[in-house]
Amino acid sequence: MMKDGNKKVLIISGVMMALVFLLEILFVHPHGYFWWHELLAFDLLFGLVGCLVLIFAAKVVVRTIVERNEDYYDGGGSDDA
Amino acid sequence: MEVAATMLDFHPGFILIIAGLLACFLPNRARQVIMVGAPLLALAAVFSLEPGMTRSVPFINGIELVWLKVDKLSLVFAIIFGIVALLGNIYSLHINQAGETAAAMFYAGGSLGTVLAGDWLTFIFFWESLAISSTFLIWNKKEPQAIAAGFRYLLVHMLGGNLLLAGIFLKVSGGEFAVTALTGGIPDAAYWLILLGVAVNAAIPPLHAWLTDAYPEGTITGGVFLCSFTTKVAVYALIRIFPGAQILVWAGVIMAIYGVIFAVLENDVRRLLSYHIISQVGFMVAGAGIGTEMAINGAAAHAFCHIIYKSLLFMGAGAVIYATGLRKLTQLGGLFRKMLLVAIFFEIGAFAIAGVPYTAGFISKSLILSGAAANGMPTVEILLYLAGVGTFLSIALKLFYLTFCGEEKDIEVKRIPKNMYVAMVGGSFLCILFGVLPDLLYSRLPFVVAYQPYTLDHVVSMIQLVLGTFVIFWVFLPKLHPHDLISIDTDWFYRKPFAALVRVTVKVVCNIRDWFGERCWDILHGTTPLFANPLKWCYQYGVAPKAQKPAPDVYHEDKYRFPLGLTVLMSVLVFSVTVAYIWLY
Repeated sequence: MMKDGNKKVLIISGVMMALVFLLEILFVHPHGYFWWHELLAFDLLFGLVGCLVLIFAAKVVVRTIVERNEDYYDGGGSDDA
Repeated sequence: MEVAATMLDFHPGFILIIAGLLACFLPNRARQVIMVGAPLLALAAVFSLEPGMTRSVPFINGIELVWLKVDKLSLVFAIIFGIVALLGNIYSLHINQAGETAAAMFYAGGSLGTVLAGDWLTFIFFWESLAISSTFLIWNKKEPQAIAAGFRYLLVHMLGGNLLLAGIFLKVSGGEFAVTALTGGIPDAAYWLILLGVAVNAAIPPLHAWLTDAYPEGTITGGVFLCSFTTKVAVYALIRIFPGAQILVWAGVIMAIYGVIFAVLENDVRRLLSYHIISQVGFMVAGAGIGTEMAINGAAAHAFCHIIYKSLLFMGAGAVIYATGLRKLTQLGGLFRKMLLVAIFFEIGAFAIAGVPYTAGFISKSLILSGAAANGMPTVEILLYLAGVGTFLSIALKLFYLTFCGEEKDIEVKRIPKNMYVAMVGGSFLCILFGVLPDLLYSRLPFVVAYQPYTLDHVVSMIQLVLGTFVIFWVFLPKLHPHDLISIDTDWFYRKPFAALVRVTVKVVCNIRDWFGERCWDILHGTTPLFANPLKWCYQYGVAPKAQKPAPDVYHEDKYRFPLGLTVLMSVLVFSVTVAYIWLY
């Protein structure tokens, strides 16, 4: 069931992406300060890549440095608590 | 007419502070009336203010305390502070805690006082009152964890407040009394001290950890106030005092990215939202740093909208915590059916913070981004845009999914009070109202806005961004499930090594004291026997009569009486010496 639901959600979002892309090609006259503002589907790609980058940065890089057990501060951490 | 004018001139902050005092003494029913009435009265007072108004009283040494100075910038902050004080109080109507209500009112009143202050002394007075009143919103939870977090919060804010105070002393003793922009000249000591003091309250890394440490520990109702005031007052101060300070642009960009990355890891619901305060305030700090009219407008507008949607999010998260007693994403899930309305209100706030079109976030965030782009700062624009991706990912998608969707867990859900719903309806309404009618807000911004947020280009871009983020979220969902872990932040420095340093120092001092004490004991014990019986050291001339001989240690006068012969000898000696002296001279 999970598999089917998953696929359905992805198909729907794929269709919506295609529609928005079409909308952009047909109706949007790009105006922007920098060259990437005028690229087709730039924001779509930015969303995909940016989200991947953030997940990678958080879950792979930062996590190894900062994650601790929940009782990390309890073990002799503060004596005023 | 005259009387009416002075009545309406009344400072809106004072209304809330007086109401806070009254709230301490009144019974529950009357307090509830005040909780709604006072913010309404304060709002009326705010709307009666006109840009250009000033009121002052004379103070010592010829200093004028300008306790009310209104311009468009302070007015837009005053309006939103009044609105959120009303919503927050409606949300807290059920609590029956005189102390917490009073603290919340003082807090809101102090915020209004700070943004309406015209001189440095009034400014610092209200600024410090924020730190004190807000601490009680944390302590009022009355759990050991909250008490400890409250103490850390207070200490950090006292440090920041004192840095600011030191800078203000330099300014005032130099004869500059008015709160004005310090940028433009060569930065002096006062500039850096004031900037550091404000940076603590604005939660600029690495001075930000008080926020994510303390806000999740506040009371459910206090959280709504906490997330609205302190950081936004600091944003006001940055716009007022440091517009166009280059350093703030990069500080803001770092904040925006830093907040979203830590939010992806976070498991505690309100701590996740707190990381997003840092991220969102980053947008405003960057806007203040860019300093163009468009960017300043953007920063003020974003602070305005942020207060609406962030308080709505804290209300939603608070309602979940109230109903379930749970605060971690690993424990929550599948609440959509059980808390349908809360889920809807929460998602409205989440869409707003992510800047989805037709919500409040869209009209303000795009102002800052365009401000950066128009100022020729491509890196700033693209990094802030990236932070926007992270905002949508972790609040609208991750937080919403893991709380309300996902696997159905066997969670018992308590009914939540009606007043909470009323406050959330109000917040949601404002989120959409300002999203649909941006000119309501734009017309009140410090500078004239020549910006049209709703072009097809903008809307299509935003929808694309949201879709792209959603697809990656959906694919990587298993990876995003949280764990029962915490992430350490810069508060680690004062909670671990600094705490260890304090413990070691105390231990060393104690050891020295103990050692010294023991040596003193040794000396005392070694010498007391010697002085136990001072008579031992006296020469004994006589001998006590045998018949009366008492125990050896008891004093007996006969024992120490001089013999008669000795007295005669002494007398003869003194007499001879005297006679000889007189005779010879």
